[in-house]
Amino acid sequence: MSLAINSTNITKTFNIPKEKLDSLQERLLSFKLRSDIRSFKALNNINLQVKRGEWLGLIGPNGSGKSTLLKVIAGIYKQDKGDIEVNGHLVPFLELGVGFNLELSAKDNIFLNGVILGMSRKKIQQKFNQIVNFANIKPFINQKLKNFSSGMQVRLAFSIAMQSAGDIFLLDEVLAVGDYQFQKKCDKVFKTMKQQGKTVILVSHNLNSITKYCDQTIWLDHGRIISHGTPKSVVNQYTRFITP
Amino acid sequence: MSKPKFKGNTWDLFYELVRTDFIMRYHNSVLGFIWVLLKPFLIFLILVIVFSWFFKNQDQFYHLNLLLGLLLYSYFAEATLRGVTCLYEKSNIILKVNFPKVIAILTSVVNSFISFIAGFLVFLIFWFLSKPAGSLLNLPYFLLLIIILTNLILGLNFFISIIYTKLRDLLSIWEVLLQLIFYASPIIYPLSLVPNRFKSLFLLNPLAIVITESQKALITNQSFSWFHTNYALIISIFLLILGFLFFQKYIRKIAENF
Repeated sequence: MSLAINSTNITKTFNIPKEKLDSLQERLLSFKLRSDIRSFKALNNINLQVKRGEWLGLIGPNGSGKSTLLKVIAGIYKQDKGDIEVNGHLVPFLELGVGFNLELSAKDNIFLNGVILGMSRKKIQQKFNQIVNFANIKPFINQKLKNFSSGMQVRLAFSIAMQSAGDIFLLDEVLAVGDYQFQKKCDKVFKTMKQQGKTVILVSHNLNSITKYCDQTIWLDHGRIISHGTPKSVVNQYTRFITP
Repeated sequence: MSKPKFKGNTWDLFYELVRTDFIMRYHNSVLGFIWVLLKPFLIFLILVIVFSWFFKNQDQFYHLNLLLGLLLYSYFAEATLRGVTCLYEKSNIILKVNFPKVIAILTSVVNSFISFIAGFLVFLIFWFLSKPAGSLLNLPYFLLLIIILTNLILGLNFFISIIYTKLRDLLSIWEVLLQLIFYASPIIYPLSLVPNRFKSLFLLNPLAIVITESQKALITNQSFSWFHTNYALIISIFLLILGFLFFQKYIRKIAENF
């Protein structure tokens, strides 16, 4: 079976200034033009292989490097060492509604967010009615997004994301938002995605959804892989570790 | 297998970003897009009234020279000011999706270019009314000068957009520099007012060359100075290439600057 994502020995170090000096005034007043830099290893020798159609779950405490790993795979951060190969059309969902502009109409935002997610304008045009119907916002389509409730905005963002043409998805805590009804909808969408054979890396603190959907799971802490295996065993280890 | 790259439609993304910029500029205004043409028209009208009636300037084409100079300068100033912040303003997208960041630079210039074209159309109205010696047959030469100016803007924007993500002072510094450039270019005074011994120094500034040569082509119909134009062209291409290389080198780590 062919690999969708193959990353070997990924290491990513951030150089974080001890204090943030963004302007000349701050630099001059503190009598130094360069601030002291602390380097911080966000990812340390990460190896992972995801086969086509496989779902990989990422768990770990806050600040363990889960989101950084997704961003490196998405090409947003450049790794210091290691190689990443992606085979397919990768769409990162690190946040719903990337690029949403509150001053634009819902219609304009569908196109804006759609092209940012890698769809062509033609494709969005074809899927337009589906997006609007799924989000249930038909009467408000020409209204500015700022007049939408936050729930409606999320619904719209999710509906656009669903139509994106990718076959590899990076999902970061997307499920954390939305009401019960919305979560049900997500559930349905995930099932369809699984049936369609999409490849997914899922970051979540919801361990139930990890065991429910994923085929393999990685537990990250301080940028290292602590454990890697079947969702059940890794989640078990993890829960035993975090419950005192 | 391939490296992670933007697999979407780059052209469509560019179109949507330009469109968003354009809408954002005129949203909530009653007259909307009419302002694109109305604003330069009203500004030009004020200038013409002030300079041709109150000052009774000896040079009967003074106001035309002024309009053309201002038009070119405004394009430069507006496009580079947008250039300073163009990456920073897109930080929310840059942090979430990997897309060709050159698009952000091009977007910053396109909308200023649209304003420039609108301003030029309005300029032509005043041009027809004044009937200067310059001929519209010189438009190809003018087009070359606009290409030089656009190269300069793009080249500069490649530098300043990156530097601004590290140094927020740049916006204030750039605003002051733009004032300096304004008075160092023959906009409110003609080139003939510059003392001869300073003239060659003065014409090191490519913007000064673009403005003077445009005035020659469209208004006074004096013979062109190809020497200066070629110099400005070479400088602009050099800056564009250098800027692009700088941009390519530092854009890889841009997400860490936000």
